[in-house]
Amino acid sequence: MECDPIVEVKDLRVYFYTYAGVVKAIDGVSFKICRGETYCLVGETGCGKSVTSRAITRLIYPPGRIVSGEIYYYPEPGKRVNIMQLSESELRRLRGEEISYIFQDPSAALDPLYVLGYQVGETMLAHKRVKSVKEGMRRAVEVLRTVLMPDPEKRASSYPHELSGGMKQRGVIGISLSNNPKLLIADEPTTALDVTIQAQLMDLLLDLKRERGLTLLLITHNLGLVAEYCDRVAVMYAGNIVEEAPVEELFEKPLHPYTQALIRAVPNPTRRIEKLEHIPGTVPNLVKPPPGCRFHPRCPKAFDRCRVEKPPLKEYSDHHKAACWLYEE
Amino acid sequence: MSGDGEVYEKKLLDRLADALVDGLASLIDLFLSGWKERNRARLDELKLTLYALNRSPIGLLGVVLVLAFIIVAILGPTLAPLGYNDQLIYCVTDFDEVRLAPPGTVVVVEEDAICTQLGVEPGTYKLWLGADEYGRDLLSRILYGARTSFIVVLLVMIVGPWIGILLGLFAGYRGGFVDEVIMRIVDVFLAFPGLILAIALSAVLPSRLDPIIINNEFLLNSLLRLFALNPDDALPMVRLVVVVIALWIVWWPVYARLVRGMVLSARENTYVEAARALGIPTHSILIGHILPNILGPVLVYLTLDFGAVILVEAGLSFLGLGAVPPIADWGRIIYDGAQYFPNAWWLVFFPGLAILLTVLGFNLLGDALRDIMDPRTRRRIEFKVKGR
Repeated sequence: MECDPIVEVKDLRVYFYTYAGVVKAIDGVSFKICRGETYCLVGETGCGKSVTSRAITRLIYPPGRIVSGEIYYYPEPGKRVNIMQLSESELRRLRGEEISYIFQDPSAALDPLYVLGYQVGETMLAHKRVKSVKEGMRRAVEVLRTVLMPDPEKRASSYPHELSGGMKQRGVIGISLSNNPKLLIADEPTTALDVTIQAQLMDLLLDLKRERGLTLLLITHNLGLVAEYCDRVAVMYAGNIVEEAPVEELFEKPLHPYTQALIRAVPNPTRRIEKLEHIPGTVPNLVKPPPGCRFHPRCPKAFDRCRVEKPPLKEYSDHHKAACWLYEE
Repeated sequence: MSGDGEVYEKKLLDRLADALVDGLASLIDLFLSGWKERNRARLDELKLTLYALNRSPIGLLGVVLVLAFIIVAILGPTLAPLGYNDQLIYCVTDFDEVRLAPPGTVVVVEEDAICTQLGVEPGTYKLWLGADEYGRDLLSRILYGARTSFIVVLLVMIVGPWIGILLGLFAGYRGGFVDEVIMRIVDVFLAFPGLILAIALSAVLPSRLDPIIINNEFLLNSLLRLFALNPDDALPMVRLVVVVIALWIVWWPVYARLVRGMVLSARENTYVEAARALGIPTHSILIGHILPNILGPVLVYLTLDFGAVILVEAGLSFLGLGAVPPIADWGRIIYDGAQYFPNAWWLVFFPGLAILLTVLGFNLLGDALRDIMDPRTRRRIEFKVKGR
């Protein structure tokens, strides 16, 4: 499988300059998302998945800063846009029109003061797809229909508090897709919803992806979702990607001890267990990350080299990369 | 305030509020069919606001005082029996009869050449609140004074706070260096007591501003009409405009700080981040999403501030820096009357009372608005009304 990249990130570093010190939230992350695939970023809370996804369109605001790194966007094969060099207005065009986002909590992602149709229309107006908010509100009904919103005419003139969680997230998806982006970044799109709605919405996202030839970057901490919907997975830990592999490969042969521990920690619903598996220790303080491999204080297999030298992300078998000294020999 | 368990009984005032809202809605519905149905939720909220207001006697008093002030300010100059500068001492034979005449004096103005030239119609006038040292009717001057205060406050409030609100929005949203610079400027302004700075500015500004306003025919005429002044009094009026501009400069910093603080928390809302991520332009985010979400507390503060501006304006005039003769201005009337105090007590007492009632009205209204906007008060009333 040859990869035709849509987004390429090289050695990205994002630091947050807080009073407590410099938080190295993202420290040297590189990855490539291929056109048309579903790429997943998994990891526990605070490992930098969301910051990575926001950094793709430079949505990092003070005290955060992209310290170094290269980010390229390929609108079509062979055409390369250097996102780090785009002006503010070019970035604005890029956001929403080429790369769009869906956020975790749909009730917070909608402005409580406006009806849903207005919010769809406003986004279309911002990208000059419609001439006025009024026209946008008319077009919003069609947009809501594509995301299978029940009774779209009525819902377009509903305020967010009049909608259920699932309807709100459908609305948010509608807003994100109203400008036909090529890459959709879904940041834990179903975390705030219950499981039945979760399945409906994931199916909707996949259908829309297939219909429109979208590329999806899915950010989640739910390994079930990863197994079900992803093509390739990157596992993040404390601001680094520690393993990247096609999804089947990752679940069959996880290389990194962190990935192994994560998969072990998912309880098997068919068997009764005495005690839930967990990873001992806590996420490291990113102001003063541990030297060497950032996982070594919690790693059962750590040895001397891990404490001194940081392992690079290296390909060990076909498309399967890991950052661990265990496999150096 | 009634207890929590009690069912809310609609009072006469509530029914009046219902009738008023329904009537207005039906009227708009006549022109825009379907409007009433579309805005049903909003109309219900409006009624709730009015119920909440009805439950607060102090708030109602505030509304009454403020409404009275506004009506007097608008109609005062038409209602006034005499002009603000009609000096009756030239119209009577014995001028001690009207000079510092006590409240209730009746003056008969006969057909007289000088007097007609001054614009005083012959007739019998009762000086309800007395007269000042030129025999000018105090009641008329207070009525004209309401207009002066009203226009000054309006002009100050239309511009001053909004400079602060916009700068605060920008500073809070941008953060970093821009924020730092704007807020340090705010600190510098706040370090001076506002009144002192306004005094300094009212002393410095006139020389630069006078020619600009005097030479602009359109501006001059509209201002004269707004203040309800005779064309001869253009120069004294410019002094009032100077006060307005001085207050613009003094009045914005508090708002900048207030708004910036609220923006700092409002911009963390996911919908703001979502709007950025969808490529919505910064100005639309600021004006369309952040400002409306923080506007409630700002409006309460604005209402409270109306009274403060009236007070400061009267204070400046009292110090001889604002209105100059012959303009009718509450602060100025007190300043001029003070030298005859306590013999001609009415020259100090009545304009003072006017200032007191107006400022009190705005303060009570602002307090009541704060209570009404509090979601907890609102819900309590909503439950009671619906549980009826």
